Amino acid sequence: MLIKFTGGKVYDPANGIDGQVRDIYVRDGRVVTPSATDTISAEYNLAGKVVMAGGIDPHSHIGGGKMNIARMMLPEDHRHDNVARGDLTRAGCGHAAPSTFVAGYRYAEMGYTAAFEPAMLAVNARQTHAEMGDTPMIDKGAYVLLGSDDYFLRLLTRGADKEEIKDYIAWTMHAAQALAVKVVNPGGISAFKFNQRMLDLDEKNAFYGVTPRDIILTLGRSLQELGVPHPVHVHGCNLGVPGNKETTLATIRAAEGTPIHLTHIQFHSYGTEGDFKFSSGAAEIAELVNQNPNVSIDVGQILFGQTVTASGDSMRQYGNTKSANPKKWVVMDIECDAGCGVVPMKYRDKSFVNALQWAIGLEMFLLVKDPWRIFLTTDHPNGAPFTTYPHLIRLLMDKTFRNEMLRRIHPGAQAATILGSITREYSLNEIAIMTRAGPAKSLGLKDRGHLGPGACADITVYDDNPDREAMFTTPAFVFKNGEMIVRNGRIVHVVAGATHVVRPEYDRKRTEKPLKDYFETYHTMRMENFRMADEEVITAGCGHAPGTCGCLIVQPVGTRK
Amino acid sequence: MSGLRLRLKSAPAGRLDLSCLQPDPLTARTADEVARLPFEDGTLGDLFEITAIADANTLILAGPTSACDGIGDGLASGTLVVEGDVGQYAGRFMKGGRLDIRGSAGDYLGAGMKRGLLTVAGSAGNFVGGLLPGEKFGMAGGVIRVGGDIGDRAGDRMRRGTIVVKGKTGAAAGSRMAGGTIWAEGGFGPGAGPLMRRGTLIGPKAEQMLATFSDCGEHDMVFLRLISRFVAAELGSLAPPPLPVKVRRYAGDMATIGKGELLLTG
Repeated sequence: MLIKFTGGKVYDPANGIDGQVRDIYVRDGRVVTPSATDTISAEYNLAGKVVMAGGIDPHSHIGGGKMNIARMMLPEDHRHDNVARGDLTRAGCGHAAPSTFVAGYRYAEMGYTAAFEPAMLAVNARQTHAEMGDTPMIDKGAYVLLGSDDYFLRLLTRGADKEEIKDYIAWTMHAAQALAVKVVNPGGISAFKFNQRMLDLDEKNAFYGVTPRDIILTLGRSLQELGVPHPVHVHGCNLGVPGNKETTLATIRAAEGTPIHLTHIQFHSYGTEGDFKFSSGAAEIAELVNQNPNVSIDVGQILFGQTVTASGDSMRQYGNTKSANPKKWVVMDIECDAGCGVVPMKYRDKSFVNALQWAIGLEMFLLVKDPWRIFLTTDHPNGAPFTTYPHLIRLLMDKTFRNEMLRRIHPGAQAATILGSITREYSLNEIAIMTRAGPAKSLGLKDRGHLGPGACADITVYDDNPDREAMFTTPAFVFKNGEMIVRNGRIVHVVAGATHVVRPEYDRKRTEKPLKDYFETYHTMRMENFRMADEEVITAGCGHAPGTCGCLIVQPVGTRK
Repeated sequence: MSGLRLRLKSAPAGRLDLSCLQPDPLTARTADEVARLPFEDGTLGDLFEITAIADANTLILAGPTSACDGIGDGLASGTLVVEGDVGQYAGRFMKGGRLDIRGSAGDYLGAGMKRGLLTVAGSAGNFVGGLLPGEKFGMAGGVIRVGGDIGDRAGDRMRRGTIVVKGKTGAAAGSRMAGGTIWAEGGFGPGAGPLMRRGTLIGPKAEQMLATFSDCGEHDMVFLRLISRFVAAELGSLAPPPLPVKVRRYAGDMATIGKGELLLTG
């Protein structure tokens, strides 16, 4: 069955198509080049409409224990956003920490077809995959956390051979069914338990004697050698601390050319100037990012209103508890391997700090020149729920609107930001890069984020509305694997979505021998139970063409381009 | 500006959320206009027989049952009169105006209420002037008067305001209370005031008083005359007779800071 999408303005930056009118043909869930003899069995006339690949969110907390804590902690946030059962959809609730089903529906209704959970703790992998399995409509995957877990830090302390470290990283990725590796406050979550309340890049963890610099560099190089496409996903030291821009600049330099991805960089770009001892470091960091092609970032933009911050960084979240609004929070250890901190937060435009955080995120977006290395995120739900993306896109694409919003924030923050003097406006092509092609390339999703032949037919069609917020809020059509799932912003067909994983090669036998002893001695479960089987991830009815993937898509490893 | 009378044509089959029926925006329109307003899958006219009445800024709701929830939710001004029973959350987060329920009310009557006057002729359920899970405080102001008995845990985490009950309260009235007054003419049910921090409970007797309330003896307090006068001014003919000159005071809950009090008049 051949489907033709006729006459839409196509934005497919991965294939160099920038708003030209093109026809797209889809067969069996893939974009194809038809031969002259093919008959077309269905046609959509998309004249005047904007066609892009389905959106990809590379950093969104949609699973893992912390989201369940956030859901339980904020019943009053759900109460105003109840979602009734529909003919196709299940009941749930929305806003800051939406239920899994509502998260899936709302992503699809916004034109997104994939979202990736960035903080899966290996010991919580089962829970994370179960939640992602209950998140319908979109493809997903998760980055496994390393860097504050006991076994990894022990390896570093005793100066283990780099092959042994690589084996352990690969083993963990297999065991947790991960797509990439993330490090959260490298070594700092562990240091918190030894009463350190801060751990800078070159400060030693009191117990293990390793520094965040060692951890980042070891992970970065190991992942590169293992051929994992996505570079080490770094949530750096000193999140949210005024003056942390120095740490961030040092972290970029510490990578020594090794590919790294710095996540929610807005929270790591603060200076200490001005009356409030809080200022923007966006310009300096953006300049260094521009100079270092090995670095990619996502922003973690904040937008005003109620949300909840959920992070593995128990050290910094403990510091944030005094700003909790409403005043309740959870900070906990998880199995001595990592931590978890959930703190509700209300960002106010009349607060100097919040207003400047907002401006810093936007400065970062506008000052980093290469859209292939900066991705659009709010670090859902930490900066704002993902449902605010259309508003954020409008802020980036519409200078007049942006300046109007700027005039409403705290006057001190207005004076402290250069945002008003930046005239850059993102084009639709650049938006397509930072929300589709860029994340897909960075994550190594070969057949996503573009519309060339062989690509998965995840396609979003928008009306070309000059109000970009309205345009990106309500897509005209969304197709997942060639099937229409959303029409005029409403779900018309429910699919499950696949889970993406990466499986680097390693010596399993050599790795598991010492690991098994370690698990027997120290862990709460056996090594064999710790490892997740494929059958635990696969759910029925993923919506993919039979025989192509099951529900688990193994992305290839290889040298990064 | 005149008023409207909305009569429910038939008893609802399931729960019905009527929080949208507010005197202020609705009475500015004619009965025909209101009948055409969308409601659930149809219009208000499908559900109600709507007629105009003379009373200004007044909405009369006739024939609701205990399945009708959220009546007067967030009421800010005007008068809402209910001729019948109401379900849960009536007068929740009320900010002003007057809500008169001529029947009985369900749970969470006036939960989180801030200002205004709420009267119920019949009885009311649990958590009168309380709060819902996740919220930090219950009732923060205004006056609630119930003609019959009320259920358990009235005034849960109440912060300010006055609850006057003609009958008796259920168990654990004034639980976790942080301020305000509950005056029960029929007395308190078992275990009043658990984890009460501040605030005042007034009644002729209290069943199974908690061991963490300490007897402070008989007192002649200025407050007694003030509260009697205040309630008489607020409730008029519905007000209870003034309090006696002396009451027996019990301080509690000593399991917390113990700045609350239980005043026994009997």
